[in-house]
Amino acid sequence: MLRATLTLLAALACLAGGARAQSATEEEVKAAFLYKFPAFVEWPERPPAAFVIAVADAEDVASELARLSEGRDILGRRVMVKPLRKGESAAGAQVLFVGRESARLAELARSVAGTPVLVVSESPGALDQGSLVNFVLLEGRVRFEVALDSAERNGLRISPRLLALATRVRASRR
Amino acid sequence: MKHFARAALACAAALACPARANDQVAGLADLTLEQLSNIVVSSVSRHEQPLLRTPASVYVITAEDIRRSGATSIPEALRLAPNLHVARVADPTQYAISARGANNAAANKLLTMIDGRTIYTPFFSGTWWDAQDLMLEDVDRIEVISGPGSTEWGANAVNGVINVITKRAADTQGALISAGAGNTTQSGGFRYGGALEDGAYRVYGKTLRRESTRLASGASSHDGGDITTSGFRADWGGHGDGFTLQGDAYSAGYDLTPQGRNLSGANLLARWNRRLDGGGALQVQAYYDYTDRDHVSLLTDRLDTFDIEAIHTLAPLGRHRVQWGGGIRRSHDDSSIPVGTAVFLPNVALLTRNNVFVQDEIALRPDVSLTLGAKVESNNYTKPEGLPTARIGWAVAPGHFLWAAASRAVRAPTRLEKDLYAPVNPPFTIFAGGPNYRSEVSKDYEIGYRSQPTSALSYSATLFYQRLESLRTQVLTPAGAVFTNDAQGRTHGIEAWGSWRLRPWWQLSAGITHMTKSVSINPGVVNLLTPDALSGNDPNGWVTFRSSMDLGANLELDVMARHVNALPSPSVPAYTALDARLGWKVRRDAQISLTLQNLTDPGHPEFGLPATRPEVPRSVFVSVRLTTN
Repeated sequence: MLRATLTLLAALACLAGGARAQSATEEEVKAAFLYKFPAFVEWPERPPAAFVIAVADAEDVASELARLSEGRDILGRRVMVKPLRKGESAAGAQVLFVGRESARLAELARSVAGTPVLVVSESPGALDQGSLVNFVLLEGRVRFEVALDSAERNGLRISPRLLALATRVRASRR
Repeated sequence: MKHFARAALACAAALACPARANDQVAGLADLTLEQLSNIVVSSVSRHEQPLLRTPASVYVITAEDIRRSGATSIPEALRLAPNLHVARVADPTQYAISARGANNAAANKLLTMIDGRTIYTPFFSGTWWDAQDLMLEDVDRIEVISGPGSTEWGANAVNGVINVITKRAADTQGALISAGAGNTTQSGGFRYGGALEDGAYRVYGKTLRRESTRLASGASSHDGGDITTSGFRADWGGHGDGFTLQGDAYSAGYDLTPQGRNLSGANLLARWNRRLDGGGALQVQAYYDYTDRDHVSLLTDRLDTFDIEAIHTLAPLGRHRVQWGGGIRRSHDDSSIPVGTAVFLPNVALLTRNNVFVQDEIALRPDVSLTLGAKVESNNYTKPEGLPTARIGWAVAPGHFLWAAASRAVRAPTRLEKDLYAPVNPPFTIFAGGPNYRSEVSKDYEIGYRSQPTSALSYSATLFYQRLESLRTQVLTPAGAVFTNDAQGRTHGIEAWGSWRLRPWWQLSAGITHMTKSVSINPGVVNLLTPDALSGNDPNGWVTFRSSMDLGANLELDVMARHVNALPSPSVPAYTALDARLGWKVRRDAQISLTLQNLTDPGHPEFGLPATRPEVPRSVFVSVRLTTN
């Protein structure tokens, strides 16, 4: 009985928090996910100085991410959000996010293939273009699909907790 | 215990939010992955598509917009949509509401739904606004689509669709009490939401009373009355299955001296969503709805509706995203005219409506998508109707979206047009139904641009051209007056709106609609219908403006203005109305607000004939809202 009451109280308090976040925009939630993902990935090495998240063709997400990560760190490293200009490569970044309006997803993903970069996208069919994690909207919620084969190719291991939330997981080649 | 520990941890993270209340984005970083994946982001339509990239003219009224407007009913909240013309009318149907013209007190080309349940009556194919009320605090958003939506929503979604969507039960937890009073309106409501094993529920009750308005002569319009509504909603499930069960019951009475009007009704709806392997989804929904309407000595109507539909979204197949489904509706309608001046034949009718649809969204390029869809819908009066649409959208640049659409929609015949005869026994020399009456047809061409160049600025503009064919007319035959389809028309115009957040605490919004209509009757036909019954009584344009300010942490000031051009027939002068609301958050769990409507004039008419139309008065409304969280 006590346990049930405590669970209920905890749930109510959580809902108060949930209600606050209720009005979040898609970009804000995606930015928050981008900030969260690295903690659920096993990296071959820790980045030397800053943890770099490169963002291509998604200004809103980039600006939300910059606001959100200000004064915070990822894996003990300062966060750097780097908007990618036309023709600029994603080399040196740990996470690369490519917006849905971008025409250079395949090209960017190819350029970092085989190196430890978590490529995240938000376009239908993006996993086939080399993306590792692709945001989808499901019943108004931001979810994602994961390509384990591409992750393996880039030397990254994705945590089961992250996979549990995926709407679809493309199996690894092994 | 593990469960509790997890909940407590999640909770500690969530409770970190208030400390960062003025920086919500940073607050999101403190949520867990699971919490993030549960946040509902603004989205529209059956498909999961961000508003920016929806190839249709859609305006979304948010819960925050409704709260800050001080609206006490759905029609009042609909005044927030710049693509709708909303006018108070004499009959306690209360409102004439339409998009893109064809408006009158029995406006019949706009489909209205609450949580997927149609509230559009097959009696006259319009909405009885006098029988619709709900707890506005529990409304998540109202999506207002101007233009045809028949491929998705079926016949009658000709000029537009209104989707009222209530919050999930999990988002309305705890207790809420609201009460308000003013010179035109009194209302009171409560809601309580609690947790279930793997979900949540809420129950609510609300009563709303409206005082009678006055005519220009100063006499009472006798249109006052009250409506009491109660209901519940429960959502539960997990592991890819989601269930919703919800229901409402209401009863209403209106003065309408000398006759009076008594209404009652109830509904129960169940919905099941399943996520399929590979990214597909299945939704099955069924509901039962009954309405009982007694316009003392004028009309009684008892309508029972059963509706079931299923939608299957296939897993993405290469560039294709296919959705298909179908629905069955059976309505049992018992209408009669007690005084014996006219009769519905048959007076008990079984109305059927079945449909199948398929839609394919094709990613032609990463930035261009084409949607092709078609629905075939049968009804008991006409041959099956084809309702196709083609929509193309191009993301010109990040934050900029250009779209175009071509569609065909129909308004199916109703009881009123097919089954009304007078006198009560043959020969029917006055009304003789509409033996050859068929659907009114609309062919629509639209092009629109939507943009959100920065997170503070967004705007949308749509140009539309509508060809109307087989419009309803009534002609005199030796056998009496019958309904025919002897008119056609054209409407074209522009709808545009935008909003600009000047400062973090100050937002401005504005909207404008302008349109031109023409109607012509076939040569040699003498039409008996008045112009407003033929094609609506519409202003050629209207403008809305809104300013929303946060004056410090606990005070908010909203000012809304609208200007509506003159209506041609019956003639109604142009008017400008100014409304304002001041809200004060006394404590985290207590709010007081003062709403003033019609500040600039003591009263103005919005619709109808001078002798019978109500003057919309100046009003004051004070309300209190208490919550437990």
